[in-house]
Amino acid sequence: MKKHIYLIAVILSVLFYSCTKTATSSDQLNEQVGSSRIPVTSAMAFTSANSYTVTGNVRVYQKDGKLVLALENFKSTNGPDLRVYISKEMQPVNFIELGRLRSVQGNQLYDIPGNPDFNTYKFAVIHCQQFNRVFGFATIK
Amino acid sequence: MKKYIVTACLVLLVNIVTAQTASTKKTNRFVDLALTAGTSQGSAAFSYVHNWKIGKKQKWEIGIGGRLTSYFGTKRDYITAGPARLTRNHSIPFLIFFADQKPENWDTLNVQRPFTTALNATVNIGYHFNKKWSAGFNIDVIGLTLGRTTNGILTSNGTTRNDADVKPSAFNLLLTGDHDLGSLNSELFINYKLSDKWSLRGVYQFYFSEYKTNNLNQVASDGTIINRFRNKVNAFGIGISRHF
Repeated sequence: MKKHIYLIAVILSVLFYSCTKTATSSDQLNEQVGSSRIPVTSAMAFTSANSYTVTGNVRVYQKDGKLVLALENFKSTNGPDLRVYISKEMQPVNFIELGRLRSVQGNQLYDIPGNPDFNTYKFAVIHCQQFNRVFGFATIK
Repeated sequence: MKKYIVTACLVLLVNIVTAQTASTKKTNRFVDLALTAGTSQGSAAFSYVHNWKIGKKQKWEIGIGGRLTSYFGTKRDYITAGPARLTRNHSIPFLIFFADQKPENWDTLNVQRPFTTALNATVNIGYHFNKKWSAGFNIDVIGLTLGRTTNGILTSNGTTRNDADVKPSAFNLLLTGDHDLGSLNSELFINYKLSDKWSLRGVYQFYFSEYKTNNLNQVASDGTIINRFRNKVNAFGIGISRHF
């Protein structure tokens, strides 16, 4: 019987070997828009939310006819499933996802699909999607 | 006189024991714990099964039971759960299994942290190949689900929105295929008897998990408003049973 119990324990361990929560990278990034950039909005500072800390600025540029969201001098508390949105609300309901946050610090660029109206999509949001927590937001204007 | 009484008692005792043995041979009763795992999801099911052996050789058994299934996962896609007339080419009960799907009417709700516990009545069927090996199938029929409210990302009609309060469908009912409601578990399994009391099962699980949106809905092309979304889980696992 002992043998059987060991066997079951081994099988269970293999079955339930779960993945660990992966935090966002903390590499210092330095992505630059380049000289041909045209600023579309002003540099606006992030506001921290829900007892997380997000600092730095957000600005939208146009480059080669495409819109790019730049996070400048950016720094954020780390989290497992951080995403970058432009959103109609501070707590995102209607949003466009620009991708996973590539790093919690440094200068970063995110392509904005289409040509959203920044009078409607007026917030850049760092959002932990899995736990529905806003880490920080900045107004786009 | 004493001798007769003792003899009578012994005979009666033997009769009772024999009757009980015969009775237990006609049924197969056990409790079972089954654990399954898949990509970013898993389940634990605790069940009680009461099967009656049938046929001359008593190789077949059929019965009922109850099952408590906890399902958990991370960032799982749930697709439009019905009505069946929108998700399949036809919606005739049972034959719906063979109907073509209509993915053009599906939208996706990515449930961020699904966690549900469903208590359902089950029906079971089994076949004994020999003393050690048997196989079977069981399926949830009706019951209730409790679970965690979480957020879900609804991708519908080309837009992506965040619903902060998606919750599990409370009522479960087996109606076949896309007619089904709620969270329903089913298992195809092979059973190996370790001893008179214990057996080990290899399980293939097919599990329907269902969540409802709260603030946002899918609007189908015919105007139907849909708030039920389903994750069809295929997973493998093991179970251990304690027989009575």
